[in-house]
Amino acid sequence: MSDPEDPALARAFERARLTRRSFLAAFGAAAAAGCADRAERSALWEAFVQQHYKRLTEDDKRVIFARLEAEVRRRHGVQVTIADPAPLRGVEFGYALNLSACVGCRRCEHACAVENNTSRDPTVRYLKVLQMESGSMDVERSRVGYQGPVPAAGHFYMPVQCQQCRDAPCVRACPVGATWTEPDGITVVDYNWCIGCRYCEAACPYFARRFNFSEPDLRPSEINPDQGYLSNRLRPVGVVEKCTFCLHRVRRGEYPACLEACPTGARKFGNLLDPASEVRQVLDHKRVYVLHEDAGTSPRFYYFFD
Amino acid sequence: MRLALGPSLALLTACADRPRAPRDPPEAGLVQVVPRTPLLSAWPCSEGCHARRAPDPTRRPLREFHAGRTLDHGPTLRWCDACHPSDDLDRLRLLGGDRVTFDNADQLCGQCHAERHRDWSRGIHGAQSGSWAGPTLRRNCVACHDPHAPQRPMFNPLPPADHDRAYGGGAHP
Repeated sequence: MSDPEDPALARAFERARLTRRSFLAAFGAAAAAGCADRAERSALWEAFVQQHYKRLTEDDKRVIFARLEAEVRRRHGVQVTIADPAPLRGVEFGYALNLSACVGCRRCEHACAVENNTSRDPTVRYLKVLQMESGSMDVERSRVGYQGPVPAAGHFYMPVQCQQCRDAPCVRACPVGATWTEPDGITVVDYNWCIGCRYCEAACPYFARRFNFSEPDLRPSEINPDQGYLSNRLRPVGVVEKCTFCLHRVRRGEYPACLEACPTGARKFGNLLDPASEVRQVLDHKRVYVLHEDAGTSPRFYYFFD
Repeated sequence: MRLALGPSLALLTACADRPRAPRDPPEAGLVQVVPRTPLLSAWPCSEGCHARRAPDPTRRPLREFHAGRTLDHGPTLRWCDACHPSDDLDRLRLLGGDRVTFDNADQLCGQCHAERHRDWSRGIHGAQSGSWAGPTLRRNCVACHDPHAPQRPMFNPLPPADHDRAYGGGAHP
């Protein structure tokens, strides 16, 4: 039996009282020693041992955001800013889309790609515009690859993106808690915690989640430097991503990029808890419906005709 | 390896989620309608061209001035002076004879399109920019609709995603 009063033993305990993190970091540095690109290996290790977003302190976030910014600088030569705006008090975001006004021009689809740094090749788009047959709500008979002047006779257009469900099947499907619904109603993904199992993608009734099969391909000039940790920062290969209502914009009071790009004013966005907001005006004065109501997901995204 | 290790490390630390301080939303602001008159090229009409030339009230194809302008909005019922009174060219005339500025053109449109106008004043119809929390910039009717020929032109859609095109526009998804 060892003597707890033994000073030599106490010093040994003191040396051993490393935090898990510093121990692993030291271990990682040792493992990375001798590699051609030590900075990259070190960043890789830091990312590997990074905690879940909800367990990060503000100090942790500063370190992590700086590391991610440096990574983008090293790999793409672009200076970006990664922020993490907190949810707003008394705000629950909602969206309404006027199907009578939408002409199917895909401006929203492209503006979304530009804002959210989605891969250009292969093309990843958070939102798709479905060309629907007039008089039918059957999405199985809709088309996404339509061309030519729009709106075409005998059709209407229904853009579909993440519906920010109140009971989100994707969140329940995630085996590691890498995706969750924020207090303001936006479902987000911690791209550093996602294991890429794609269960969420399969669980979503709206085909709203996307998987990066290859490294997202963006030219440096195409990278939007205004980035949010939970929204449009550059994603690694092998993780799932989705529409976040442009979280980094809307928490600053701005409109989502898809709404600003809409030339017909079909898109309405705002605070569901504020009776004067545009989206509440739609809910109060129009007959709205939600997509796949039978799925029981209770979306915060509403469609209406007028 | 990442699959197995990440979550198990989390269990080891077994610490609670860290609460984030929520912020107050921005101050609720005003709804502003983008003014029309700064966008008009030769306004005020009465001080420019029409100081030298009186408006011609005869119905005719416009070739000399306002060339290319067609009236396709009740063409047999109206001519210019229905809305642009000859004695007050810098303002618009409502059906009852009242005058409104070009910035308030929605009042003119709303005389017939009352339901649309009501929706527009609620923020349901029409395009907006700025901030959802205010100030919101709202477009006037004539920013999107040509009141002289309101038939909306067709749009050329931007290209679809590559794989959507490859499917030949097949069924969703």
